[in-house]
Amino acid sequence: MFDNGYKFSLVDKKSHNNDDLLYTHYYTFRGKRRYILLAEEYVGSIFIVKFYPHSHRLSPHKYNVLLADYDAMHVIRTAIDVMLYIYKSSPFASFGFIAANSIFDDYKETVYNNKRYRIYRQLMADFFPSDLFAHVANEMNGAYLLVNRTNQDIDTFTGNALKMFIYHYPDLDT
Amino acid sequence: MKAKDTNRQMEKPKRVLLTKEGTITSVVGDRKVTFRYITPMELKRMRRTTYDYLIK
Repeated sequence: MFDNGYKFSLVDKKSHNNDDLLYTHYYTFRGKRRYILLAEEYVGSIFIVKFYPHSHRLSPHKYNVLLADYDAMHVIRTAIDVMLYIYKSSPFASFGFIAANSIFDDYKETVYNNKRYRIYRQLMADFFPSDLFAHVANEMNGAYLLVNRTNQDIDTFTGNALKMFIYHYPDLDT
Repeated sequence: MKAKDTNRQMEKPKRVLLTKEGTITSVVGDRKVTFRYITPMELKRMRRTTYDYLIK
């Protein structure tokens, strides 16, 4: 199911004058529709990955939209391929993401253990071995962090990474 | 003389968890978020073996 992704390309890289956030890498790929994938690079080679359909770029719910394209497996696999591409160029990279709850029409899914979170968590277990990455998760908010084990002190690194994660994503809360 | 207790069962070894299961709480301002380490055993249980690891 998740065997093949789409061909993607890096289209832009913007630097930020922020103390933690260094760059945003912009990727694009085309499946049944065009997608934009952002990889925010933070201090310590931590990459927060997120994507949305280009057609919904102006929507406040662009990360929450659920499309009837039946193409999720290829789109998600492409996002994983981008993570692998980053990992190849930066072997110390750690990754994080927040699985957004689905919102459409009158329906609003709960954030806790949402559909995307359940799928992504399964894929992280399938594709990223625990001897190379420490898996840290918060299902209340659908947040997930893959901490690269090449870092010296995993606990301290994870603590700092999570602080950064929480600071930059105000939606993360108890 | 005390009879030798031959029926005494060998004490079963206690289950040793090889993996550390824990949580990590981060506080930023008035927000406090707790993350949980997913243990290697848990990942192994969850994992579908139809897939190969992408990084080896």
